[in-house]
Amino acid sequence: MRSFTLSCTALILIMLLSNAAPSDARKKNHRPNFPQEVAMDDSSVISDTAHEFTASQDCRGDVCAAQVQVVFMPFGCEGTSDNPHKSRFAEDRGRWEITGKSQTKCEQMIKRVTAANQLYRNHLVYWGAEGTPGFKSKQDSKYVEAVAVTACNNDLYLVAATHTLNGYNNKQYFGASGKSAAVTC
Amino acid sequence: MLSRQPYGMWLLLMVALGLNAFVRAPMSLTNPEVSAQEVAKDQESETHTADPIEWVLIEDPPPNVPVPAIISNEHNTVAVNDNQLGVSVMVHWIIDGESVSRDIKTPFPWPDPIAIRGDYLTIDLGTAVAPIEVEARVFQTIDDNGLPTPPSPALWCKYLSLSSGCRITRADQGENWKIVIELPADPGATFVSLRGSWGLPSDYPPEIAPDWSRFDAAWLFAIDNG
Repeated sequence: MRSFTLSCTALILIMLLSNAAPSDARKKNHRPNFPQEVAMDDSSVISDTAHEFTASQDCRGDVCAAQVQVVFMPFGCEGTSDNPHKSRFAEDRGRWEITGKSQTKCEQMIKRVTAANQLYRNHLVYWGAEGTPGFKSKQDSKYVEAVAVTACNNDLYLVAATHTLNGYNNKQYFGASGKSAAVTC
Repeated sequence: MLSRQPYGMWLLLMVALGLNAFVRAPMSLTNPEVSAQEVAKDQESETHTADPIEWVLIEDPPPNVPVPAIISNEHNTVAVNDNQLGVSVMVHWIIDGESVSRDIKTPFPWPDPIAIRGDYLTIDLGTAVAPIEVEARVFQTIDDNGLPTPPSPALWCKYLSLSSGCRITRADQGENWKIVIELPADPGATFVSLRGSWGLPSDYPPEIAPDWSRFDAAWLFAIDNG
């Protein structure tokens, strides 16, 4: 009986401990009341998405989404950029190169999905573009990836992307993403 | 005694299950669809995409490089009559069908500071076309060449997110967009830089802007909020 009691106690402790960690992690990342999508106004519900939202659902401080004409995840799409990273040694130019990748991805196919990106270096008062921009655009698709390249100068780099969505309902949206990191070669 | 022990164990087990449910409740009730992958993704270090991307309707970029200006509004008061125009230091734009690319050079051409009152700086962007990206930087000291010391990270201005200390906003459609920047608490001279990007639509004539996806421009401002 004692061994059974000890086993039960151990099982209970394991159950409690196993749930504590994920709970903390999720609490940290919880975004209260953040909408997934907001229509431009009450009359312009995006017809080719599964969700319908009204503008009153999202206000921050004194500003609402409809007032500034902002939409979240139109057509279920999002844009992302990866950290810039050392990619390869370009033999013909005798230098290391840095690559920056950006993706536009949607939950469903849209009329045209585009990702364009560029690597930027810190110019003290702003991020300045340099190198070869990346660009990828596909019709009737839901995913593209753009790849930008520049020379490595052991510095802080930013990958900044322009994401473009063209829906079958003729609505078109711009979005921007970016990520920075120090890169040494 | 022997007959009571199982009840004790069952009671302990039920209490544990109750605690277990209590611990799980906040995450399952508030956001049941959060996956481990999303949690991991959220924990990555990011620059200006900490919140979901704010998408704006596509429109043609401003035909000319905007000229932003510090203005008075409910957030601050400019103490002199003349609003300060930003000093253009970087342009990546198509002007009259010609591509123009110009970057900042030393010495950085900061304007003379103008006096303002308030905890925020308001800058009229000079255009009603929504920018897709705006970064602002705030410095309190510059050297003889106008280089900021120490350097300052970019504030990524957002339409709705309040987390960055910089907001893109306007009261009504058709108005120019405004940039509202939270100022440092220390009074005195403050130097502010601003970079704005405007996206190019997919059907923008490729012969005019091959390989371009956006127009960029940057400006310098200086204030004295002492």
